[in-house]
Amino acid sequence: MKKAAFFFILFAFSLSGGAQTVLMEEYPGNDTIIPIFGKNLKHYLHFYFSYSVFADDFSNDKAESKIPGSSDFSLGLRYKRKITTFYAMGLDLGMNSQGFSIRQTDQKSFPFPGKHKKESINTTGLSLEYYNRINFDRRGNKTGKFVDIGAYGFYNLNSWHFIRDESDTLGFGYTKAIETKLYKPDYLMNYGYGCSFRLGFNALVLTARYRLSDLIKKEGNYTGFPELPRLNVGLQIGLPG
Amino acid sequence: MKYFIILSLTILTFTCTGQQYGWIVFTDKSGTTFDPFAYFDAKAIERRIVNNIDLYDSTDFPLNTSYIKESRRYCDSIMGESRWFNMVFVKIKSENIDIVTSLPFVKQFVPWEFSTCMAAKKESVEEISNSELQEEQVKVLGGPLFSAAGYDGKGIRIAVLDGGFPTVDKHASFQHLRDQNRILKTWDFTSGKEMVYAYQNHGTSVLSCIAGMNEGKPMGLATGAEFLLARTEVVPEPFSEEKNWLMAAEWADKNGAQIINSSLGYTKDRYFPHHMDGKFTYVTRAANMAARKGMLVINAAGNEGDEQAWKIIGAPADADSVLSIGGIDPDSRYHISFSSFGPTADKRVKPNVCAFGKALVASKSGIEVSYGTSFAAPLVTGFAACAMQSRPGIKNMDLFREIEKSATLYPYFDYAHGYGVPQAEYFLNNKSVPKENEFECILRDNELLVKVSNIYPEKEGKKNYLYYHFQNDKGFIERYGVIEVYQEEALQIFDIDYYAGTTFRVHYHGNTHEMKIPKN
Repeated sequence: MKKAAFFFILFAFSLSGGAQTVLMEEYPGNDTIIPIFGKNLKHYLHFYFSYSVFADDFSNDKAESKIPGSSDFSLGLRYKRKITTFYAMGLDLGMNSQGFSIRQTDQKSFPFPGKHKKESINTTGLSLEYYNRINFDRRGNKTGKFVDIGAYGFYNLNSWHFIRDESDTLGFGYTKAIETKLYKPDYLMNYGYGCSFRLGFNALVLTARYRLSDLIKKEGNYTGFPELPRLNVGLQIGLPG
Repeated sequence: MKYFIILSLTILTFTCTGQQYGWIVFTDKSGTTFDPFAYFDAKAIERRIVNNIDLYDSTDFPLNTSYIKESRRYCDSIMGESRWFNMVFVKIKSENIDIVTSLPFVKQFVPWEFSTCMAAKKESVEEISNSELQEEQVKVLGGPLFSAAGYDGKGIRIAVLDGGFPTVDKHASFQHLRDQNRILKTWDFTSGKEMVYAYQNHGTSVLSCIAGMNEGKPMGLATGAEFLLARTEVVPEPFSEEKNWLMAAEWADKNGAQIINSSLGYTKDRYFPHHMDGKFTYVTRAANMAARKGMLVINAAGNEGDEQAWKIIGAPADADSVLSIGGIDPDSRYHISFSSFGPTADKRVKPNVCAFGKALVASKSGIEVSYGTSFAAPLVTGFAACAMQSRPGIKNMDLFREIEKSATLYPYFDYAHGYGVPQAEYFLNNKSVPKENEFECILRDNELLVKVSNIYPEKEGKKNYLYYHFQNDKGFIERYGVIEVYQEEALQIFDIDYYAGTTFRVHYHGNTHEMKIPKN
């Protein structure tokens, strides 16, 4: 009722002031409502994008992937729920595009023997992450310095094995390129999980994810297949962070 | 995997440990002795006597040196101290904080992490000689009247706290200050050196709005005052400006300053709007303490008025004893869009008064037009120096209230203009000049009508502004506005029951009328 009256007054006033110029009009009572949505308020939601490279060499049975030719590009939406000035938790929904470039050597056996001009294994998928955030500074309504530690699961919506070969059979300096995409290779897992770590200062974030689950199946025909790199490290920009 | 763990631990270690800045607050000053005549400048003694302040106030006593010595054992360095708050500012390893706080003479450790902003909105790069603006920025306060009466701030000591004063030692606008040795002392609180004539241009511009000269004409009102210049700001500086502000205020007190001008504000990087309650921030408490020592503290309201995320004044403009200065547009003569609004978080009136938020100022290498409440504050500081000179022996808070009373809108006020623009005429005539009432307020049925009897013709160039507000019984203004009037029926508000119980005030052509909106 109060709200209705308020807008009625506004309307009435706008009519009555028609022959005058209203230079300014303020309703300070409205300004004193404490907001709950913001970078350091109760709820916060923002987009981000990140680029990271696969950086690990931890597995003895690694695939011969090229580092840093293998990378991850992500777009995401992150929700943060502030609990105290120094602690928050949240959820992160990301869309991830990953590419693993396969080194072409004479000994290469994964995923198949034989050298190509270029070869990669690519995935696009969604990931959902739960994280805990520790902040290190008292601050106003800004993100500040923080560390995130989280766990995530992912589901690959699509995946493909890409091969590019070139031959000079056309002569006169022309080459013929043959590109092959094998969709949904059955040696790839469609889902998995891992842990994440972020170190941030406002919108700028150093990010790392470590995939705990295998991406390559290890049973049946795929016994002995090497694993793709698990750790990617990169930079993330919050929009606005 | 092991590298990942090592990397994570390394980053965590880097983040969680390391050095911390903060205040070590002591429990007492036992065993210390104090001789005010040895410590204070004669002017500071005089100010205390004028303001009936005890010369042996415990907040002026030195810190206990054995406490400092013992604390130093656990700190990497002691970077400053405050007699007023009985504490030292230190750099300390995080793991030593618990040890220090367990010492019997330590009350608490207050961690410190700050950033700041100057209250200048934006600065023009063009060098123009805008003589009309220069004339008006002084005239709007009644500068020529003070000048004609012989008041130019002579004998008044003003401390200016800012980010640097480049070329003040050679700029033509300050020639008269140098010739008469009226820059008494300087100190750079960011580096512990005397040299302040470099760094940020902001301080040079601010000083020019108090005492600068351009083409033989004043840019501010207090061209005869004497100055203490303190550099307290660094860009970028994450933590220490409020500490520097406090130490500079103590330095100003010791050296006899009667007025402090601070065109600085601490807002969103560190605080939330609800922290602007006149009590929360250290710099606000320091500013109130400076006022308790008898100094008139003048601070810019801030330039967040057009930022919905903040909008209100910053610290220390929220302090109840700080004269907070808003900005008006020289062309329109009402609130300039960026000038921060009041009230404080605890709903006190701020800003207190206002002046031009656009001014002709001295820059590092010339003269330029600049925007910001940074320049409104020193214009009022110059005014305050003349007002203080015109009322010898006046106490700082009496002068504070007199400046409010002198302003154009008084007793009307709002959260954009405060009481309006201070007027020299008030101090020279010792009262406001009564004005003829040119309007009436009519309350009938459920409608409020304000009718005016005189509208200045457009060719006269005078403003027909009508200010109005509704103030509730707790003193809070629920609604206010400014209307430019073209017709007799200036303001008509229907459904006035919505404001039942409030006090309606309207100000027009220098006259204020109030009426209570009756409850049904």
